[in-house]
Amino acid sequence: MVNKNLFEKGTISSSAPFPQDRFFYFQADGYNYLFGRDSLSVVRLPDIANKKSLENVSKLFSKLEKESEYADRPSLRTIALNLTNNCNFSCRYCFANNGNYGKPGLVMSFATAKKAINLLFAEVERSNSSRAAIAFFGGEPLLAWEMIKKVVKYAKNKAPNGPNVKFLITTNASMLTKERAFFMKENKFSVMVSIDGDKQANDLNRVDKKNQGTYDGVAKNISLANRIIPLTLRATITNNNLDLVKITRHFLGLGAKMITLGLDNNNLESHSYKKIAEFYNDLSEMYYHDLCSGYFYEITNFSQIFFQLLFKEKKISHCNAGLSYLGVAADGSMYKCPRFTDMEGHQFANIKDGKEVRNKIASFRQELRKDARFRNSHCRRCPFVFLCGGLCHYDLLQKGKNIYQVIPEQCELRKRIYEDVIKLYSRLPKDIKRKLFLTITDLGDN
Amino acid sequence: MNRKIEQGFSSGLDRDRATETPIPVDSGLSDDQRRRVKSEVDITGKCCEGGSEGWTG
Repeated sequence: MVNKNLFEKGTISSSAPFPQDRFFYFQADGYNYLFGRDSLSVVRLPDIANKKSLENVSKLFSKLEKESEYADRPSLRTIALNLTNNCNFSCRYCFANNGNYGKPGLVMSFATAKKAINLLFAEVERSNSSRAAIAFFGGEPLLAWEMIKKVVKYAKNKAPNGPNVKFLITTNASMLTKERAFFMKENKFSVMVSIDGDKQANDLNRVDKKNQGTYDGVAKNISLANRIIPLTLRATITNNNLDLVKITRHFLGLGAKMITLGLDNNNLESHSYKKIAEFYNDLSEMYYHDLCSGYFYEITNFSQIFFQLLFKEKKISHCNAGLSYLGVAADGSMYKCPRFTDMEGHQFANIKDGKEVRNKIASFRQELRKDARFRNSHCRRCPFVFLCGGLCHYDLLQKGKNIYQVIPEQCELRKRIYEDVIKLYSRLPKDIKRKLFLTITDLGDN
Repeated sequence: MNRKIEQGFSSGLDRDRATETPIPVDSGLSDDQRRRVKSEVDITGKCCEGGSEGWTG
């Protein structure tokens, strides 16, 4: 019999404590594993449980802990430009009030975009970093296509010897033409297309201004553009669209090689989180079998955790909003991320004042670093606290909480996801993992 | 002689072949490949910014 109780009791012996708030014990494929909170490492346990083998486990975790580090980047690296508050869709779950953030018709001027880019590059160079990213957001950013072209040209001209600049765009793809896809390819864009699954699932919520479903036009454009530039397809998971496996299979059918699943946390009900956890488990199983049979694609919800396990990077914030990442509203005011745009009392800084941005980021980092794992009683007891970095600050505020609190159902789902993904990582043969890492970073096969 | 382990982490193993050594789960990457993956992830921003929007570079 496997002696699981040794771990469930919390300690094995005085020389080898493995309490549940620091270690996650699991079995997979007949082996026994421990994941360590402070090392962000997974270890396959020895076959024999005796004093010596337990000491070996303790020693190994101590060694691995020294290899882990905090993942907070030194300064601003990514800005999301809200180019326009206009949108041609009226998605029923839109957090931005149909894209207009309460200020319909507002568009970003080229002068504002330039100031934001100047500020970004100055901060990147000041921190001796080599990478900057500019994300185009809205509203629907393709409504501001001419502005996108001008911004790309400006950023590239400004950074020939400076930061390596990367462009990202989140779009509904309704105006994604062949010509635009070629421009994006030429300028090495990462393109994320919002679509919620098949026609039935998508058209439940993603409708145009006439309340008509948008699937047909979007799917046609995806098929056309995906031949030119690989797209990431992103689904918003809602109460009436929870089947992650079905959505993923549909996206693969549309030719996606990259898939992201986001949650509509504003509206999801408690029972939905439980269903999502079950579907995550099914998705993890499906992904395991696909990868093992040589079918490689990326589900970013899994790969982001894989990268953390690979690099042993401890998070102090889930997405670095307000640290290395800021949203710029159409009028030049800056927020932790686009979700906070025009939320009263949440303006972070302004593009006119680089020093203010720097000081705000530094003080926010200090606040979060102070003691990332002791922010509340849930996190204190959670072995996944450094994989997680806390819940989305916007979601917390929407639920009347502060950024150090938790929303129990979201927290529970995250834990289940970490358990599934750590198991998946441990089960995958190393050759498959190697190929997956190299494939999804476009590094070829060796 | 096949003596089975009665109490341990794994069942049904031959005691003579059973180990007392834990093994870190292997990523499959060499040090050089890991460095290159890290550099690529750092440049593209994968797994860093904008998690709520799911931007992954």
